[in-house]
Amino acid sequence: MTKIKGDLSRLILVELLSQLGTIAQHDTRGGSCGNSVASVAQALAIEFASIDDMLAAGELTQEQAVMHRELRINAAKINLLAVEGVNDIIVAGAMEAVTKVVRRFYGV
Amino acid sequence: MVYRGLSQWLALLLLSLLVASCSLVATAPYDAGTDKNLTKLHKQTAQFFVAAANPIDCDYRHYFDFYQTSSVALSGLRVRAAAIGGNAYTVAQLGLLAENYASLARLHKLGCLNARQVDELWTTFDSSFSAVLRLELGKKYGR
Repeated sequence: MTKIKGDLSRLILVELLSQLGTIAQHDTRGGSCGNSVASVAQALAIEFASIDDMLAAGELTQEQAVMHRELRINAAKINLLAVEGVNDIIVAGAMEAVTKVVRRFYGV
Repeated sequence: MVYRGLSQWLALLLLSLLVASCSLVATAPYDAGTDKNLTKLHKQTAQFFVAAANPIDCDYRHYFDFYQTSSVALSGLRVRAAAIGGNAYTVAQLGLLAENYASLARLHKLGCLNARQVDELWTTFDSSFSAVLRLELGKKYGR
């Protein structure tokens, strides 16, 4: 029973991650940011499926699988932080450019 | 005359709003030290994975020096990154990377890493290093 529950929760998580990837990919408002989030989510879904394969094949113990998942989640967070950080840099650059234009135009 | 004064006031208001918004998205400057040390740590990590893929001795103790050196290098990187203002994203990234090195060590202590594990872990670490460097280089090139 516990094993079935574990398998089901893993399946749901993988499905959720792949759906998240699909939603982000179809979110046109997100632009390149949406695409980056989609690729991170999809990569994570694929990696989780691969960990499950290794677990099923007896190449990993339950404890090792948990650590592998933690590693992949942290790596995904690192990637998302890069997406967010680069977006902030782009916004800051655009604001600086607008400020320059306003200053030149109004002479302030 | 009245319109000219009004437009100047509006321009000043717009400018002050822009300055206020800019402070919300304050970004840290590019740091060559972080870039250099991160690239060095990546090289050490790649060397570890090459050795782990074709091990003479796969035991954790054989790689103790690598775990110690990488831990020291990451500590230095984190201290440097935290000393730079507006660098919250990079600090958070390095914190997560440090957690991943600790997890790698714990995983290795549990037993030898097989070829598939090494391959997948290597990809995970490479993707993390790329992301940290992408942000650092983004500070330099503005994109």
